[in-house]
Amino acid sequence: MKDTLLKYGLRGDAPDLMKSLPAFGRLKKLKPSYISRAEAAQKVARTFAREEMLPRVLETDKKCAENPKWFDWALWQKANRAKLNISPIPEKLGGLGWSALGNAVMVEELASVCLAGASNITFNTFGLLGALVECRTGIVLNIIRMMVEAQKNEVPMFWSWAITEPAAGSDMEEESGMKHMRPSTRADKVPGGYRINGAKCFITNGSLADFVIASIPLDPSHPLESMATFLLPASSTGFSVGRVERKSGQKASQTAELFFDNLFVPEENLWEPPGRGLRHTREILSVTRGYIGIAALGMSRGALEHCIQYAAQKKIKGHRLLDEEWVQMDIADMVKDIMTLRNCCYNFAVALDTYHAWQLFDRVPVKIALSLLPGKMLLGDGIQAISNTELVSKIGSWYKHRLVSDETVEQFVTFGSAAKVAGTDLAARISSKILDIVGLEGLSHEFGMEKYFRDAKVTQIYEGTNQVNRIDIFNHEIGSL
Amino acid sequence: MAKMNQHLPDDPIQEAVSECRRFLKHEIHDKVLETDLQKATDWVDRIWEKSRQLDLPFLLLPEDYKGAGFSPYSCAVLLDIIAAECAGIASVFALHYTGCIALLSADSRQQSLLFPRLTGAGALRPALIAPVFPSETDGNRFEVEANDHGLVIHGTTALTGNALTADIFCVFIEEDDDMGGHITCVVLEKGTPGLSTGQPADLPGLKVNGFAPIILDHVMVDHRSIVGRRKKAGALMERAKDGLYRFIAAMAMGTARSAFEKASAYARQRYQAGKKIVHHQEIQRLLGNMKMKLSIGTAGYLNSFDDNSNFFRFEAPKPPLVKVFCTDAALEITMDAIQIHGGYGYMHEYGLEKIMRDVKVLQLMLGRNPKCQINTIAEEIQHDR
Repeated sequence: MKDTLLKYGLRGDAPDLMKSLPAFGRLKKLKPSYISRAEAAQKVARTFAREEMLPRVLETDKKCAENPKWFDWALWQKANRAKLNISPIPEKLGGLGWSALGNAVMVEELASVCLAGASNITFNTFGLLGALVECRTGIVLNIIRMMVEAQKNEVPMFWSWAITEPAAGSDMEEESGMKHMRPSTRADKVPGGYRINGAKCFITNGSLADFVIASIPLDPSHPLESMATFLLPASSTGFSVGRVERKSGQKASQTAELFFDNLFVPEENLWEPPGRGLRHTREILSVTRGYIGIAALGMSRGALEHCIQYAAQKKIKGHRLLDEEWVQMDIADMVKDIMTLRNCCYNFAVALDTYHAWQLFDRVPVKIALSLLPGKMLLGDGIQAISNTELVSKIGSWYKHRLVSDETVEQFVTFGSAAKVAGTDLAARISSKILDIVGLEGLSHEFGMEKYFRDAKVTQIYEGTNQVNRIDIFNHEIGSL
Repeated sequence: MAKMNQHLPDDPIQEAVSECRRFLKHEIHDKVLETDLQKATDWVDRIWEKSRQLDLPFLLLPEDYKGAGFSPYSCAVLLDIIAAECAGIASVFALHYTGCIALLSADSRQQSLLFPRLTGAGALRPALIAPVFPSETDGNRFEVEANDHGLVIHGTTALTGNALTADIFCVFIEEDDDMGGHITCVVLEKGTPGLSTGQPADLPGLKVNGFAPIILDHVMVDHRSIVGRRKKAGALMERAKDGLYRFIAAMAMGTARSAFEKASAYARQRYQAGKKIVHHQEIQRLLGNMKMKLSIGTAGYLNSFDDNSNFFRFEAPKPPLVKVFCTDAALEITMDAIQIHGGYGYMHEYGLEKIMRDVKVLQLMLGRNPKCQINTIAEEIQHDR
């Protein structure tokens, strides 16, 4: 057995960022700290994935198979202590200050070990992502305060994003679908706020959520024109959690039904006014779809690493399974596909830092505020009060929309959809192909490979089915012809 | 060979199919998802017992021994139908029929001892067979020592289906290369001293079927239990394996048919962008693709029974290749069926994700698919020489 081979992957040194993406060398020369911080993020995430997640991943999968409501709080606490769940928040405010690239690296590393673990830790940024769409300074700062406070006090705080309804999945994500959909939820204007009724389904972390960002129409007969975005605190009267679903994979991440029974939210919880709900959804999708592609990249790599280790140890008629030519061809093919996908995914991540909401953290007004003011003051009541004023909120919103236009959002939906479809189709293919290599004996749960196969399928479905993602790619690129 | 057009309406297979469908509806349909969540070997036992009402355990045995005298072709058709309801249960019968194929070539003295056990004579439980084939993997080879009483066998087999519920093990042993690499076929009863099962595998699919390695710890096999050695055993094993390849293909098509029907029904009632999704071209293309694979795969496995086919000098599909085609196609069909269902397809209660897991195990039974393709051509080259 060659030692170097055994070291490949989960038990040793998988290629690091600079080795797997040598083109970043140029970027490192131009902006050393940008790349070196991403390299540091990779080290932290890889160590966490291997030392904390890997030893428990199969046992957790088993426990959740028996009881879909079981949650690995011990792992969550460790991630919380490492601040992985608030990684995009600037360091000065208490987070890790990781760029979109740094977060991409983390998602790849965590998902290479467990997709569910990765989503439990990283999906929490929905709160921040959702607030950044309109970027009303008071709301953004308040959310950062809450997240940082919860992290410090080691109190779980989960944010869910509720789009899917029993009768509308894909319809909630694009215009032609929303025009014709039959909503299962509705919001009615009442004095001081809104009353919300209806049901959402397949909501990630819905059963754990403290806050849910939900797309809900005011006029169900005109969903597109009246779709709005609300912040729903789970503590509200009328909020209830239905069934926690029993799924094929990604078992350690809970997926739940949510019911709203005459739930009242005050006016300020209307994050996006009627008619702008789809735009809000599109902006979140413009970020999250690409990250699903990155998670799929991680899964593909993790699955292949397991397979290589198994094939290097399994003996067949005196030689290693890895020595069979057909196995070598299959593995080379998978390596090639992963290399290609990696370029697509990291191009997306760097573009997020350059052109999307992440560039806010790199802009002069934000940089000045972050460098001049002490952290305590930034998160203090004084700044919060100023941020809450309508003028400052409007300036924040105007400035952000100047940086990230509607066209930019649609462009990123296309980039993200491409990364998502390419990545998730590859993850589904690789997670199946590795089982074809290891055979029936490598299929048993304890080898950790069949789990990738069960997990991968869902990535082709959520964040818009891959078919809906393709419609988006066509519509943006060619649809106007 | 039993050709499709030879089956007239009063053919026994037609009646068996109808009876089988009734049996599945009453005994299996409502339990499939529940038993998928737990190790339900006792449920398999009950189904096995009840299935004797339909002669299912002894379909392949000669009528002289109170069997039904069906052909492997008819068994495959029934396995297709059973698998559409529950691939795990179908796999129990498929492995049993594979064992029966081997024992049909045993000598008459052995048959007279074994067949009454298999038909459950004297109100006994009909014996369930686990066929055990040699594995390519090192560590699954055997030491076989001959003495005056018979053979002493020592070794551990690869993962074997029916291992936890079988009454009889039909074991094909590939002796260690130093001893010539010959095949020996022996029949061992559960409870034979030295015979035990190893750690059960925790497979993602076919969960009601207990897969485990069989451990033979210096097991004494008397002459009466040796079905064949060397050439005879080798030919027997090839016959049994060819049977199982076809049965796996039939089960794959059955499970895929079930997935296709679910997807087709769902597409007719789910709306997207203001119209039923079945009216979207992309869904029609997906369903068309699934139906194509289903039709060709089914025709392929049915045709593979035609050993003498010379129609336009086209040879009948080789059983290992039929297994590869049908299981690969079944997995693709099932994945697409889930995709058409969206989030619902991924949830246990819709039954589709179970089919996906079941098909993945079927795909890996009796050898890796790429290896089946390689071996088919490698054997042809050997014949050329």
